[in-house]
Amino acid sequence: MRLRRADNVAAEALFNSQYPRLAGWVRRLVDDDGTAHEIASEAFTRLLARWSRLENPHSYLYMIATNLVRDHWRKMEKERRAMRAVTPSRSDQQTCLPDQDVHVRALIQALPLRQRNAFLLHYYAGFGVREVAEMLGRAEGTVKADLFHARARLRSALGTKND
Amino acid sequence: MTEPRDELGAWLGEPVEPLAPPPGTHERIRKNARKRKRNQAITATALTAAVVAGLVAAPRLAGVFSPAGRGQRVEAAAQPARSPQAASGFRNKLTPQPTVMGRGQPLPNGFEPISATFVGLDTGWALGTLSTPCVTPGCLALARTDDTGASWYAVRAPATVIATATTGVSQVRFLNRDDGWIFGPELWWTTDGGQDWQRADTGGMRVVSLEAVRDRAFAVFARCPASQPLIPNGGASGCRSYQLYSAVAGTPAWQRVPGATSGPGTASVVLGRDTGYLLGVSGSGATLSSGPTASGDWAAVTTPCQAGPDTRQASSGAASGAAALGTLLATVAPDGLFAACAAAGPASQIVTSSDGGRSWHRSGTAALAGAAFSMAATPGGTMLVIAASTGLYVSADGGASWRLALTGPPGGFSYVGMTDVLQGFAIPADHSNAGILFTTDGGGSWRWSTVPRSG
Repeated sequence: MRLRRADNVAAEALFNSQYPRLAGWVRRLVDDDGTAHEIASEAFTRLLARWSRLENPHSYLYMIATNLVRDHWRKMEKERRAMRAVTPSRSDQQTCLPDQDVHVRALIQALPLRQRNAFLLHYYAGFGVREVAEMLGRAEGTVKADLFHARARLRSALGTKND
Repeated sequence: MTEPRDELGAWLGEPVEPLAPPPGTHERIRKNARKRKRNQAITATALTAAVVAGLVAAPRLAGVFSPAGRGQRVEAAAQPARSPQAASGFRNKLTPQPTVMGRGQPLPNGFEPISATFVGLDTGWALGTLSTPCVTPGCLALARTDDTGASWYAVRAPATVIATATTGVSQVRFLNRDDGWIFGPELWWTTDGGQDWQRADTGGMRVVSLEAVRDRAFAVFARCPASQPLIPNGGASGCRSYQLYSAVAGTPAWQRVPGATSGPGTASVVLGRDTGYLLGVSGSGATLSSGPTASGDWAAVTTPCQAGPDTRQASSGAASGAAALGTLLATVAPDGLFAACAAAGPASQIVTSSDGGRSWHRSGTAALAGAAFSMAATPGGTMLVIAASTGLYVSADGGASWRLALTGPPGGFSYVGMTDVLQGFAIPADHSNAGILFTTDGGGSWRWSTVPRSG
């Protein structure tokens, strides 16, 4: 059940080098230290649980974290919907976004799934287009198109909100 | 107007600020990963066995295999519909039916849940006693569900007895699918979902309250005279002293929480995700302290209810945990806190704090008949539910107004918990009802999940 010694050393090295950046990456998407640590820890746990079967642990980490962030967003959205349902008087109130980081994050959250994943992995996690294509199982050209459309949507939304 | 290209470009160009792991993170991850590898191996082996068995046995057995391989699943007959049912009085209770048993031993006959805990929408554990004659040592059993109570199967319980004043256990809490505690007054812990339990050394003290969040558990250890009886929800009153301790999940090293109030009397702990609260009471009155659920010092904050100790207990003759203090607490993220303050009359004043208990304001009044034992809030604080001796009371407007959502069985409900913005569960005070109630609409309606029994 346990990792071999060499695997242990490699796993620890990966943890030391990648955890702070992964957790920081997640924090920027969830704006909450506790949730960021939970997601980063869960991603590493899943990674170590299937370490011997993975060829690219770095990519796997960010894919898992991306999915966990998406789940977190869904959960938050579910709660927001429930609150709106029971407090209809608030629905017409202007949403107050405290800062630019939250503002852009909300827009990214609203992107279609395939664009969102490509966008997060490329612009946010820093993977190249080829790596993102491999991670998502799509052609490079498709990923480039997804990134192009994601940028267009965001700029359009930002322009609308800033008018 | 800001140029949109600039805003997007600035956001994308902003470097990611690293977030250092809290101490012990790597060890915890390694440990959890090892457990998952082991469970994956067990499941794979068991699934292979199930397929082979399915080829030679009756096909209808294939659907009742326990996915975790940890216990034996039992499908409850006459299961309630998953959709919410209207709650009108007590007619929702399902009549226990003979059960369709899975392979091996099912839950012991006569299982009566006294405490439950959930770690997600689907997975939970119920600690139960057994109607006599008992078939397990200590008349104690533990059940697990992975489908929100639609079916339950047996998992190993600690080698102890159902609680008396000074021995045994009465409550269960799990932090995740692996780390759990059973307590009140003894303290037991598991790191493998209940396959193995170890008893923690409490130095002769009773554990009267315990909750878990993030990576650790917080527990109130109290020294109480042997003559002091156990009261519902694992609590005790009239103790000589109490102290708040915490331990990282999976470790037996309980350490006193610095700055948390202590002294004679008793206390109850409630936890938000980032902030915890300790409500204590002694002969001189109540105190509230709060602090981080990560490591760090706690400090006293403003007490929400200024009434003396336990005005309600004197009239009802039964109170529990925080209820014994005349106050019920429920947390909401990130620093929100609701309190129901018992009064001499039937109305409980509902107060709320949005700054972690530093200041309070009144949000409404709940006209509760009988004694209130437990309060829970949905994560956003929109829905509040109070378990009382007469039924379940619900507020959909942050405590401003309340209605009786379900008239209870005799004795009402001893505990209510919300696992989600819409989903929650309640435990009847009279355990012989042999069931747990679930809501999937924020407390508006409730349905029974009968834990299978044929005794």
